[in-house]
Amino acid sequence: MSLKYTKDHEWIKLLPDGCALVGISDHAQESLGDVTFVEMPQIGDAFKAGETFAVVESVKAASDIYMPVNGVIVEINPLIENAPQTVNTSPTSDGWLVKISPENPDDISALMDESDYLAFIRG
Amino acid sequence: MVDFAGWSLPVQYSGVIREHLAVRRGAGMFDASHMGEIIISGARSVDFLNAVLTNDFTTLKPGAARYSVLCNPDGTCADDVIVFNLDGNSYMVVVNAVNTQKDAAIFSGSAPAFGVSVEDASDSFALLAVQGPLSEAAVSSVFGGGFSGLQRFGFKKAGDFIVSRTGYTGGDGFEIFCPPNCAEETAEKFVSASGVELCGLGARDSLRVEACLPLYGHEISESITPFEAGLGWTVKLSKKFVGFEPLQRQSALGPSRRVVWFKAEGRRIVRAGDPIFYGEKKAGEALSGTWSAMLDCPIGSALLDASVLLASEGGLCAKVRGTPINIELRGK
Repeated sequence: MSLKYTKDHEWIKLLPDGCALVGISDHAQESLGDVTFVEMPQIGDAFKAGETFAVVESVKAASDIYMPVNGVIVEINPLIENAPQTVNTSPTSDGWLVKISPENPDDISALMDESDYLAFIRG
Repeated sequence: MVDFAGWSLPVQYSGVIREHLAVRRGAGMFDASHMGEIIISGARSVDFLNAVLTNDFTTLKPGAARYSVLCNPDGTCADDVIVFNLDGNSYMVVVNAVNTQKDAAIFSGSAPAFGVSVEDASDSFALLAVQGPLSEAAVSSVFGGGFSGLQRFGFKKAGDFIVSRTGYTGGDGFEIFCPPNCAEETAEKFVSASGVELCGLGARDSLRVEACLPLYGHEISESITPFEAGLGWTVKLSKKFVGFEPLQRQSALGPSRRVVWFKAEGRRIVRAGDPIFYGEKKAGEALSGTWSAMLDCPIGSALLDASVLLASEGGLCAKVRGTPINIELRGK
């Protein structure tokens, strides 16, 4: 399945096992600038859509990252702690932040696809 | 792009860390045209400057510049400035953009007593700051070798241009004051002829914090005195100036608060406003916070109770969104 996007510049990708990866968009990493740290949630934490689940720190600012859909954290990307710049170099692939177990996978298909998102950020 | 004292300025071009490293290892160029330039002219200009500013300009020769604080009558900082002695009769005072009108008004208030004129010439100058170990080579490639011999804080006029060996990064560098209609062409020459990296406000901030250089609105402000800011070396109590009495008292007693520079453990940036604790006791708060690309850790500044600083070398921690982060003070 391809990436789906939120208006808050997160992406989510449903995996074959029913879990989903969540990260920030290329546009978001470019706006934030050099990422120096990501404050991560704990495995097992449950979040509603729109709740802050992580804070991405860049040289410029600290930015809240919102959960795209209701779900529970099942994995934290182990690369990010020592190489937070992966969020800049590979925002929609190696730079994913968390893996979640979504409450309802249909919530994901309701989000924007890439072309809608690109149209959205062009305003 | 962000609004900075009414000027639209870029936070970054290629990225703050890359720009920062370019200035430390090669050369980078900042557009600092937002800075204000106020010209003081008249036979008693040096007496006027000595009476208004904290530093002493009696020994400042033509072709040299000197840093100073401009104080309010209560001893707090109205601004920090660099004074250029143009010809012994005229002086150029370079001020922070946000304070240009305020400073011009303060100067104008004291000018009649000294028979000097005060002209806000900010619109007549663009300012390009070319900074870094390769800045001398860059300046030579664009202007020829005429400026290579400049000492730190020395400057030379060349037609409508003033080129000074000054900057705000803590390393070698040059600042080029030129007519605004020459700025773009000059900037293009630096970029194309010598491969100078374009740098924005983000790197300007991380470089100056790494070098422990204060910024008005953070380490110095209208609620902080030069002694508190660690700028006692600019305060010459051998003469009278605006703010003299309160500063003389504070010099005798020692300031009750002090600006310190720190590095933080881990990777979280401690930002302006975050509280700093000594044990359970709140000791002050952060004034600036950014990332040091050279030290590869978060760095910043804070205003702390002097009693805490006397009590201990360590044991300080910042709280960032509730999480305690150990901080370690850095020498100036």
